[in-house]
Amino acid sequence: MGMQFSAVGNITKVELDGRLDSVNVDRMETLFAANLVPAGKSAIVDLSQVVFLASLGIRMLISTARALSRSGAKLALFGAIAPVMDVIETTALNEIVPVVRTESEAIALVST
Amino acid sequence: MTSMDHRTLRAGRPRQPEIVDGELRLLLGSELTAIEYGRLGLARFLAPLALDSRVVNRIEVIFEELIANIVRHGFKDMTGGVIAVSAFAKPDGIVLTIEDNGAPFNLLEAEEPAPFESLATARIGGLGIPLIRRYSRNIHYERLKPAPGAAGELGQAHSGRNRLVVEVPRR
Repeated sequence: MGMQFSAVGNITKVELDGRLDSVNVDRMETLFAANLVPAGKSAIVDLSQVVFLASLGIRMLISTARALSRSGAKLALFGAIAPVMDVIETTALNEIVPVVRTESEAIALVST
Repeated sequence: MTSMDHRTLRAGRPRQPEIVDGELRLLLGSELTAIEYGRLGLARFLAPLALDSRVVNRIEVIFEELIANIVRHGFKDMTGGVIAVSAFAKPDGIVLTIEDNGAPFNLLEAEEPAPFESLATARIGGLGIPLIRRYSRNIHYERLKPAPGAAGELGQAHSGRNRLVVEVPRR
């Protein structure tokens, strides 16, 4: 599972690559949160290269979004492929964390 | 589906996946890496079935959720955890059977997390349960007696086996 962080203005962008399954979330969750939460900046997560998502990945995203919201920051996800979107919709993650199609939509969401 | 017997439990080590008469048979150990090992065996079994990619993903999600739950929770405080997986294809679905010698766990009685109301109050545990339930049908659970010859062996904290059968529709 790959993870890259960059800045888009005052927003942190995270690009994830691979499988958000139990083994990978175990390995990366601390680093994911550590690179986002302390800064307290709004963030967008590019899911376009994520090929698999399971419940531990959902949990990681909710936990991080919640922690950011305590600082007044927002988290938005974008670019999910169909199987990943299927899991997102089945768990209703998109009802509490915005999930949009494009990076520009995600930026617009977290900038408001 | 061949149920676990004492030879399977004594083996306790992953074996190469087998496909016998169109049925997948996998034996997994108690580490998290067992999930990936099993997933690859499952993928090899599913490939020739030409299933819709959404169905394949749903089967993988169910597999991931069930095996991860057993490894993380079912095998806590015990040694010699073993998971036997089998799968076969029906005309309208794929049937997965997962048998393990861990702590009793009946998915059908597990509480589903309440629907999300807000980010602040969202419960983050147990999210695999709605995924398994919504992606499958005809879920059947049994708590079986210990496999013959296995009682008292391997330092097990639990007596007996869980046997869960789920079917994933082809459409």
